[in-house]
Amino acid sequence: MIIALKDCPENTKCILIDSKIPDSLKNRLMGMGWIPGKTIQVVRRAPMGDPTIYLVDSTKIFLREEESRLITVKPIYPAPLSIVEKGTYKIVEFFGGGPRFVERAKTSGLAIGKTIYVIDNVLRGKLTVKIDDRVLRVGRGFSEKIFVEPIDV
Amino acid sequence: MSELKIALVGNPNVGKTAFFNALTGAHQYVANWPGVTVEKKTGIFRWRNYTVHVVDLPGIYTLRARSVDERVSRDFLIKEHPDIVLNIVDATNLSRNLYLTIQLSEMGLKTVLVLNQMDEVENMNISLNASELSKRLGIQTVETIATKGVDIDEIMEACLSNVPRVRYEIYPEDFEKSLRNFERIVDNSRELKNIPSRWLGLAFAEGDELAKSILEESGFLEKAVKCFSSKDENASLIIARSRYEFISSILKQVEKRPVGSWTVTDAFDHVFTHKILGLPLFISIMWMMFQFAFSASVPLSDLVGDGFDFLGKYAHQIPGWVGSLIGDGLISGVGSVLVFVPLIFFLFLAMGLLEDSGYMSRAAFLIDRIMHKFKLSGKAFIPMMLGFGCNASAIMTTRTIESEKERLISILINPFTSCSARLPVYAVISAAFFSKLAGLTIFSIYIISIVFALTTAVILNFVLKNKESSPLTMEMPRYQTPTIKGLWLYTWSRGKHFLKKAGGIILGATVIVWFLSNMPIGASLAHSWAARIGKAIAPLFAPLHFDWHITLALIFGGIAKEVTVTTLGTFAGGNITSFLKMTIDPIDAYALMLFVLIYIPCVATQAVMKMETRSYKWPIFSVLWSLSSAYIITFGFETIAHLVVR
Repeated sequence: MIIALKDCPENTKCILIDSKIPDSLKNRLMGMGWIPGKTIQVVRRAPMGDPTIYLVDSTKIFLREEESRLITVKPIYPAPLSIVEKGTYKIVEFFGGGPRFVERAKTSGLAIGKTIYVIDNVLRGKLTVKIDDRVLRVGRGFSEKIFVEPIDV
Repeated sequence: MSELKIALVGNPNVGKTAFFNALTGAHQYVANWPGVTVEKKTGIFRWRNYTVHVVDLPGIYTLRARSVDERVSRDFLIKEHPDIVLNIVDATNLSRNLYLTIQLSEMGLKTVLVLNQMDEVENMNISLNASELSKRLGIQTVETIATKGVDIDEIMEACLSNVPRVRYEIYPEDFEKSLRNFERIVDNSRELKNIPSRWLGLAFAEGDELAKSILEESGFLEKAVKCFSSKDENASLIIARSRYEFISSILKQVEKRPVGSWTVTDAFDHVFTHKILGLPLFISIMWMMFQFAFSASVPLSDLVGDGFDFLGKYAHQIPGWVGSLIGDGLISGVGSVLVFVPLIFFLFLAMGLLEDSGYMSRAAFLIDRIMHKFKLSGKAFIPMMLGFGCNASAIMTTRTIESEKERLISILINPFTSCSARLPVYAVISAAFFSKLAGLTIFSIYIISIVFALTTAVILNFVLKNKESSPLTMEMPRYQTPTIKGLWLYTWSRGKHFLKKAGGIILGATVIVWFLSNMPIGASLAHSWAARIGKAIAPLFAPLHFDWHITLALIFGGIAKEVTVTTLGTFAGGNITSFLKMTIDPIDAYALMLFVLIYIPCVATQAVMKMETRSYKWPIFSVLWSLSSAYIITFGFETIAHLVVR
């Protein structure tokens, strides 16, 4: 699935596909190693949600949402649940959540190794998943911390 | 004797300036954030029978320029034909740094690769085979740790060694063919014989505006379009990809990196850019910076103050006007400002700590959202921070801002960030009126300073029709432990400026004030020329409850803000506190601080504004705007405050 870089939450790794940013800025990004095919790691979002620090090669730079929404990427699995499309996945790890998050995940029946089916994900608001034959609505912030890998059924 | 012209080129923040200092024995300040060097700096040294001119250029990522500082570098390389280019690279980050190296060779420049920060390479457990790298690139390499000094012999020998020009034919075959065709046309032409043809072709294919305009002027545009026909629509991508493929094929052979480990920088960043902790930490750090400067400087300031009191007593024993000039004019005038030298040095020391450690870029990251709201680039933040030191030098650093409008706005709002020269004025007033709350009072002025700067930005955005802030790509440098030498260079190079001012312009202004207040001979202060001038202008400031002493002090303060204090010092004949208490009430005192914060940029700042905007219009606008806002705000504050208090 191809998505905008701005939709990738922290700790996501993805492959740069293309960017529609102005030519001269694109050129500078290329000079910093941002060429299609390179792996981008989303390091951190600023306290007020924008900008975001990205890591390419061994250079950390930060970009604003205005630019990152024009850059398309393909997530590398394990990817956060919040950005995967419809399909069947295995939960691989929890990333970036505290003990309370793990507790909440457990009570919702989400555990590492479990199979989860994504019914609907519009990249905005809650997403609908099915786990243990139960349909759940999962919040965005919550789903950003659950990393999954696709499995063939 | 032969002459050699060497240019230092490299990505931002790789240590070019440190290298420049080590090579030329200069003392340029080096910071740990990208964009310190915004203009070219030259140094000269002699080596054997050579006179070597070294030019330190602003950092660039590619040869395609977006902002003023980048243009300085590119234009120098194209137009000035340096004999040798020392390409300084961060050896821990070769894959990105070598991109520029390839471009430099394509420009036909004789390049020597300087692998800098070799100590970090060791710290990060990277193994690097420099001689193999040199062989594969076909250019000389030198390993250095510029912050610890360099081996000039080794560097110069590498520069002078006879290696053939390299030519990297690294692009796909059809593209190379088009490029060769183009090069042949250019090389055979008369008009373009001074322009490196390979660079011109590649830059044109990438869509570079400069290359296009060069071709247009010489009438070769059509031919160029024909050479790079539309089949290479995505030429810039092909070029970039080929370069990186070439780089990674080399690096595979010469470099071994440990697999991603958690570095110290990552750990610090985890805390300093934390979602919840980041901003409170930022505010506490700023507050600590001021507190540190104020508290740490008190004993020294007291000592200096006592020293001047002592000297003053002696001076008054000299009979006649000489004693009066030295005692009342120089010692109580200039002395009243020199008392704040320790404070200003400590403030710079604190700022130096923040800059050297690499925290400034993190601060820019944390605050960017707010800057964005005010349609300012994230890069506008750093000039604002530096404005708390000195507006004149801070305005120079706006050169890194790409959009012209944004840059102009950043220049115009900069004087409202309260520079260190205004600090003595606040300190004198708040010590006299708000004794226990002095620290808080001054902090409040700084907050107002930021608020007013941003408000002005909003108004200017509207007036200049600035719709959007320009895109931001800022690099996060590694954290570094500030060195004593680096901090000393930072503090001294800025503090020195303050001392020079005290010995020059401030001293001069003080002598003039003393002269005016003692003429005609024998007249008392109330009947002096100063009084006459002051009283003539005072009615203008009467609504603000400023009497003629203060009015005159403010007018002289336009030369340099510290002069406000020295003038009052001369009038007061030593005891400013009691003099001020007799002249104004606490509300007017706070109003005076507000007025000093906002009214007119000092002469030096006006000159820099003129230089950077290349027009008299903007400094004049700035003076009018700040003077009228200062008047209105001060008047408004006093009216309301008097109503409330009464």
